[in-house]
Amino acid sequence: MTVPAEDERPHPPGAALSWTETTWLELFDGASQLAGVVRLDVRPNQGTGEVSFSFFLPDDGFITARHVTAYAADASSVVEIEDARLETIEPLRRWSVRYDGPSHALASAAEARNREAWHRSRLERLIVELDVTAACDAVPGDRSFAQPVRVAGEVWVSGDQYVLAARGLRGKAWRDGVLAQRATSVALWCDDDRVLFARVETRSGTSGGTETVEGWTSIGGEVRPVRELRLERAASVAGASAAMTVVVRGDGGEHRIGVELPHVAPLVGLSGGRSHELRLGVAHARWDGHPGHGFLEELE
Amino acid sequence: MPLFVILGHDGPDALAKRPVVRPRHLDHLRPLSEAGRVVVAGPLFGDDGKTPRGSLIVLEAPSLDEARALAARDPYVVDGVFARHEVMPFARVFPESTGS
Repeated sequence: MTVPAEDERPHPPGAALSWTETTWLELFDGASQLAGVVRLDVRPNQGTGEVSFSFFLPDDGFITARHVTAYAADASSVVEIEDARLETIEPLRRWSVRYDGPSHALASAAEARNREAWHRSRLERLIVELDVTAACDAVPGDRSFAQPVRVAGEVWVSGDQYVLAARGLRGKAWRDGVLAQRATSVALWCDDDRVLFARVETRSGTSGGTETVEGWTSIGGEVRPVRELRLERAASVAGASAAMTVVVRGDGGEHRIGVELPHVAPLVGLSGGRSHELRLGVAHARWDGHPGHGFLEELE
Repeated sequence: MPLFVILGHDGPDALAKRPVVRPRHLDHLRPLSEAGRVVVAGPLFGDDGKTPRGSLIVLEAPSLDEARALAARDPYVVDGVFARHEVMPFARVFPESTGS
């Protein structure tokens, strides 16, 4: 199972107006405790490109920058949208991510649900200078791929410097952009290089919804598909960060991964006439005794 | 209410101290901002456009002594992000009033 280098380039769009080619990067830096998500959505049938940078600061602050512009995809290795520049230097091996522009800051990620908090948010200058290199080969999915990476560089928030030597995951997906009714996505990477990348989602159907699961685990370099993904939530304790067990079942048996979510941003949006909430959480994990980090997303 | 400029000059360890101290610095300024007393505030950068050299705060205060007291309580002063700071009375000339 290999990913061809051509998959780094834009794919022929499908018929749906919402068809989207998404490029994403998730990272966590242990030294600075900075976590971040970079996402590029190109919608050729709408003629738009959207880029966003979201960072969870160690004090629970949340910084985000988002730009949507008219954009025509081409075969260039460089995408430039407003103040952002994303370049594929070597397909499936090396990339650079640059941004220097405005962002909005909330004192706490939990405030992201509150529209009034966004109106009161501080304007910050965000500088992102990241060099991304592949840690191992990309793993193909359904019109998608994902790949463990190392991320080096700097993030500046109005003069606050975060020097990064981070681990993370990056990938692409090219498909109809209609949101699922419900979805849970988990991306975790551990210090011994084991990785979980999995998603379960429910889409409307004649019998009230069809659930699909896709993803994989990688342990010792051996990649196995995920057949089942579910969350077992611990009883909530006032003041404690959300805790749960991520249960994954696949060809390699069952894995039970303890996860804590110290920072969760509930992002409210409207898509296709439906309001939804995407809870984006920084995940600290323990998987068979190995510490790991990543993100857990829940869409409702 | 009279306006004052607080001009902070970063010390040698400021680059490392700023991310740690900044949440408390923001907590210090937030009530003043919410009360409409901060005209403008933010970091000053070096020639590379990203490395901070200090901070500029223009705010309303009842008196020079009160402005000095506010500056003295700023965590950037208390925790040594600033090697030194100045507090000066200020008058706003531009932008001109549109009269609307």
